[in-house]
Amino acid sequence: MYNLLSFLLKYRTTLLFVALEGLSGFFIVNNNTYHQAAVINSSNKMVASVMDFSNTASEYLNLQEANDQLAQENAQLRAVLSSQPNNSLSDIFNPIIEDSIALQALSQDSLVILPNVRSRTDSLRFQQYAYIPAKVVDNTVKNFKNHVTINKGRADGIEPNMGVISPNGVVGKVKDVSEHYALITSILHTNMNVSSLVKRSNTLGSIEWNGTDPTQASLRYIPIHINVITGDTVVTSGYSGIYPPEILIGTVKEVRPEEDAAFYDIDVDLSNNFYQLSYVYVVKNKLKQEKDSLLHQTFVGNE
Amino acid sequence: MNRHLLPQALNFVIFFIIQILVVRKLVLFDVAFCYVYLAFLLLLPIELSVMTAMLLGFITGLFVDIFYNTFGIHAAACVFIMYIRKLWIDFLTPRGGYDIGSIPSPRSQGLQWFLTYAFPLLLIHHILIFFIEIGGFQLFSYTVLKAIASTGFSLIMILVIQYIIYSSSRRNVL
Repeated sequence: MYNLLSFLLKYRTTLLFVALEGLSGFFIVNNNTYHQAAVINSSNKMVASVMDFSNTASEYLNLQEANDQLAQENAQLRAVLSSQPNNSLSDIFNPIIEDSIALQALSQDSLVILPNVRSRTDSLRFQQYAYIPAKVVDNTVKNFKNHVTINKGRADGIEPNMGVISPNGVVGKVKDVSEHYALITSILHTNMNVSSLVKRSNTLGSIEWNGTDPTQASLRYIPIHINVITGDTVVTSGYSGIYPPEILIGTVKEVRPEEDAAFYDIDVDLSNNFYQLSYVYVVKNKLKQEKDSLLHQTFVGNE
Repeated sequence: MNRHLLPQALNFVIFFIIQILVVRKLVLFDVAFCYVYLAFLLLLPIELSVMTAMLLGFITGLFVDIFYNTFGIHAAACVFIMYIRKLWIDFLTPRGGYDIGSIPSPRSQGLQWFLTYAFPLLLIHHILIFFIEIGGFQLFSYTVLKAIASTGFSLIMILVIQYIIYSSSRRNVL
């Protein structure tokens, strides 16, 4: 006993060092893998409000850009609206739909998407995604693992693992939420990958960021027998249920066929300008739970 | 020891606020980050015990981690440099030894001494945070470039801030 105590006393500095480093290591590993580990990050109310405060100054610098972007998006939406048949335009605000109870249940907390009555038989499909608008409070692009903080949280219906998009394309995935703020893992995060399609050939691949250039990402797992050319559009596949299908990610910049490899090495220009991210939409997939439970059942059934 | 308590607390507040509100997003040439909060840890009194220094480093690191969304990385690096700081200070002892109760600042020990003292510690800290952040050696040269550029930038900013803030008012302390 005495020996033990004297040992502890003698090496107390080293022991404390090992203990503190171990604790930090535990935090790091936990923070990297799963969101449920209750670590404090910038979705914390106090932290986020400090960032909000320091953001108010720099916000004005991006105001012009943000305005232009929103006006452009408005124009696009208006064009889509007016290109639809007249009857749908007239009753878009009071749709008559057969399965109205199911729709009502689904649209209860829809904020942006109104029931689209263009195809009444498949009206659920147009109801599947709701979009929650949010303002970017904090955003980094130059780290290896970048995050975005937004000013909407659990109170606005945001939950972990929801997708986040902007008018220009995919932004990331919700990692952690507090009551009024949410932390988003940006697409500019070395551990992040997004299931994606090369639109022209409908080939499934995966978008990953290599950690250096915030305007570029690499597209992996495109087999070399597929014809991919510079300028091809890369969009989300929608298979994961996080993002809606066909959301723009970027365009192919350079295709490098590697010797003796089964896949191309493809550089993609990201469509989003992460330097000037100011407003984003959080995507709420109302059928995700159903899809996940079906998947789960299938897996359990197969065992 | 108690004589140092107030100035040190003030140091912490000043450098922490500068770090979070001013230089958090300041990145030069996409590679040079600025971590001036380390000035607080570097300027802790020379006689401070390693254990206290490590605990202070851990807490400071965690505070910074919260704002950088890198929970644990800065804490780990700060604990490490606080662990080796005392050894490094002993190694750098000038011929006459340190004055009792002195602080390792450029004003009390001289600029050249401070640079030799601060540069390796900052470099180790920066190498640690960047390599832990990326979690491997896949971008080795880029990460080393980031660490060296950031060390230079942080060191310059730490010196500048010290000369601005402590230029006249607290000459006797620092």
